Amino acid sequence: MLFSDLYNFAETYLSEREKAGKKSAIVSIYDLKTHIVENVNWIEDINFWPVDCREGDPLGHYECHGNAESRWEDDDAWIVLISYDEEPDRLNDCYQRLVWCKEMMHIFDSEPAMVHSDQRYTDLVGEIELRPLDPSEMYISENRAKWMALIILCPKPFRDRVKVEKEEGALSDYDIALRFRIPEIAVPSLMSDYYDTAFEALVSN
Amino acid sequence: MSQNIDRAVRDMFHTEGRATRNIKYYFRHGENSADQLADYRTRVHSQIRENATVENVDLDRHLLD
Repeated sequence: MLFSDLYNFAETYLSEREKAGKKSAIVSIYDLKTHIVENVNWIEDINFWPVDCREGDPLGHYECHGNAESRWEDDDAWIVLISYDEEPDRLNDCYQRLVWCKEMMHIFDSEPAMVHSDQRYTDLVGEIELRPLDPSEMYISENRAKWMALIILCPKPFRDRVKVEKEEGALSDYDIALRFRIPEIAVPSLMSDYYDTAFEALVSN
Repeated sequence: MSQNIDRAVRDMFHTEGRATRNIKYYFRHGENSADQLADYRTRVHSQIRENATVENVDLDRHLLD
């Protein structure tokens, strides 16, 4: 499955919910996860684990590993583990949805972006600490996954419509966050012109 | 890199029967320490292994009508 396939699923999903007159016209992480597990043949399952975090811990964590039990029968069976901060004061429903979705988007990482060896892991955490001027594909994939998540949770026709309302002064950032159930902190990115650039790069190409 | 990282890396890529294909973090704005990331992952696995956390299977279904 390509990212554009998942995007088309999300856009159609939201259109159908809207046509059906659903009050909560949001792209559900539950349904995205189900769709991915059913349509990405190398993924056996995606498990989400709320964890007890400490101050300064990451908001989420993605890990893809072989399923030891099924590997004997299927060499290509992989499990995706997504952990996230369960403390609602730090991550409300909307923020959780963005973290969950961003972590799931790492299933689209290209090989150079994957962290699958000691050296690559050490390089990545070094980059996270140092924030170099010329980041690796592994590091860039963090940003790419965030844009993918925003585009999936806020498909372009719906985002464009909201942008017009925002420019007319009819909606605040909070209203937009509530409509898509995303964190308010993500709304400036959603309303920026860069959304169109990211959309072109990730979906149209 | 510290011993903490070395230990975490051994656990990630050299545990028998569990090949790791990819690891990523949603790191916070501001400073992020490699030691803390490695320690976080160790704690996550420990919580899952020791059943100190329960898998969230419903996710955001409660937001749907």
